[in-house]
Amino acid sequence: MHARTIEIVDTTLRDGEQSPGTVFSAQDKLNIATALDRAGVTWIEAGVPVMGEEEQEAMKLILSAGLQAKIIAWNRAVENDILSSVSCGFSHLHISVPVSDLHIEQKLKKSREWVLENLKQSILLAQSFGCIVSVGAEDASRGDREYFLEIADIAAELGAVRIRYADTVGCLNPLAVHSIFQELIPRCPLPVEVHMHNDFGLANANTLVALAAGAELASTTVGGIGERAGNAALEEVVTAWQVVYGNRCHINSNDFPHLSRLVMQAVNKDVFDYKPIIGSAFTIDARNKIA
Amino acid sequence: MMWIDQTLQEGLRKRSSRENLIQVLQLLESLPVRAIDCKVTDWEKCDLPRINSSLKKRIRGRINGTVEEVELAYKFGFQKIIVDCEPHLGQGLVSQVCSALFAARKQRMNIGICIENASQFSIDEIAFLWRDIPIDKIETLAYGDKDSLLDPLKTSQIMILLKQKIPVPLEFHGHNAYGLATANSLAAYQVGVKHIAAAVAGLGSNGHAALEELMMARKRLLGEGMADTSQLALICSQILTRFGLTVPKAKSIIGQDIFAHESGIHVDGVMKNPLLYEAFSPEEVGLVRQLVVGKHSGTASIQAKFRDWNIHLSPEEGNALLKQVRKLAVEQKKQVDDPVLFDLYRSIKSSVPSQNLSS
Repeated sequence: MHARTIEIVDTTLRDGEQSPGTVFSAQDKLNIATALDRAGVTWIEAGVPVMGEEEQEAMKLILSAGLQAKIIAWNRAVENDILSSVSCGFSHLHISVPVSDLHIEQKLKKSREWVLENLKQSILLAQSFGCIVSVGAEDASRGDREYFLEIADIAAELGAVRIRYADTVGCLNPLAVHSIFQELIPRCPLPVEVHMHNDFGLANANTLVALAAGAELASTTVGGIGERAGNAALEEVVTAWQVVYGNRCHINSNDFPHLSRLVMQAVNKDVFDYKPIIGSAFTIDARNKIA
Repeated sequence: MMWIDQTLQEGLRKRSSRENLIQVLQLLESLPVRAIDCKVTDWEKCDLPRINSSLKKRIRGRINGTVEEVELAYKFGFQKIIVDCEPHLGQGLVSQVCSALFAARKQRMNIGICIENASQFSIDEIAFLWRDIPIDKIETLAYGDKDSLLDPLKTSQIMILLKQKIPVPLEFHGHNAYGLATANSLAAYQVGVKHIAAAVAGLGSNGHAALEELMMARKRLLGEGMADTSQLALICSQILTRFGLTVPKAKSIIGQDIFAHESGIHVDGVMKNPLLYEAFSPEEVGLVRQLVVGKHSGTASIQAKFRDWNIHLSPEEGNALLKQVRKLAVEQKKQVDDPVLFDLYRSIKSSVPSQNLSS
């Protein structure tokens, strides 16, 4: 079979930092972004500018570092979020809306129509500043598939570059992901990025199965750090995509030890011995297995 | 359904003390593992006693395909054994393994066979190896993915085909070099493989499927089995402690921090309905929900903290406090603990309120 290449949207600096009690200093953020860039990561989700001055300072540092990777700001579909990102100097904005009825009704206390309209206005606002927009569908795994596609259609019509499918509480299993994405990918007008959480230890597998079914980008964090049990791990997804699936990803796996040390030092955590790829208990040197 | 424990074996491999190993054996009684694997030679090296009658049913000796090891297993009183083998392509079972199988049958042991490198072979090659087994009454065939070659979809396809070719119960023994062991094992289970090797927190040489992940995935994602799991985090943590390990705080299912919420959006959501940002409730695995105040907090979480302390915060106070919280969190590079939060509040408030902190 033809070897496929996927891209990584790394969110260590955004979702990774949202793991409770974690704060990266501006210098940490710059160092990590630089290391990700050097490893060949093409998209870096750097943070949430609306959080305040400290975050904005860090964002400006990264934006002015002259990295090759495209630097993305995360936004809700809220005017203030977008204005904060724009004023930092971002030209790539990710705009996230919840798409499950559970989230729409119980968190936002709004309707599907409201969300659609709000998303439209937010995309247009971002574009009025010349920004390139990607759209995030939060809690897509518990939402109506048709509504996800409706969001994707509107995003595509307005010129968004891709849509993120988020398994916000990590409730998918790989075989389910396979059947969902087999149906979803041919019908989705935009390239799909997958953002899987690790609540049942399935984030890597769910990500890989979605990629194998046609998703084009994977959202990951170094060491899988993130909300609750974390996210799909950059080093595991990239290595498995190459070794197990026999495909390609232009990321230099020699950089994984350095990246993981950098991130773990910044969050003041040790790597669990039994964490694949970066844990000390593993005797297989996966990097040597990559053709 | 049958989980086959590989946790104890990791302790044996690492030469944990006899005392710790025996405690782990006892702790495993509180988990739904129906068999506990251990290498017979490691059992001897760790100076463990002869298997008593209560253990006989639960413990299974792994044998490296030699007659000497069968004899050792017999000496220690193992009733159940599994013979490990790693055949070469096209060569069938070596005579040594066949002799071991004959020896085990002579001792009337319950015998399983494990092809550790099964994922290197085609279905037909495995069926051929199966026909090569010189004795009948083999109770189980374990399919090993020693080199972590499989992905979930491939695993399910292989298991479906293999079930049609092999007349005894299949067992799946995955490894975790690329982080797919739990997923592969769950996929095997979903297509009807009922015996699955797993270890607490995925311990093992090149890792295993994590037992706690499989238990909860089965219960919550597949809606099967209503086992009480309210002690799960505690037991798993006690087992790891015996081996000198600590459960990582963010470890799925059993980590101390997996129900700690900090970001404004999540805290706001969890207060409206925990289901918004939790896949299951903390009580279900014996953990507790925590609201952490830090860089990513919104006013909702700060309001909630002060509500708990019976202090009403005006929106202006909330906003002022939030600014301070974010600034401090960035300065100290961590969350803002409750007493510090309260100090911040006092510093922005001219008159100190008389309420006491309740906790």
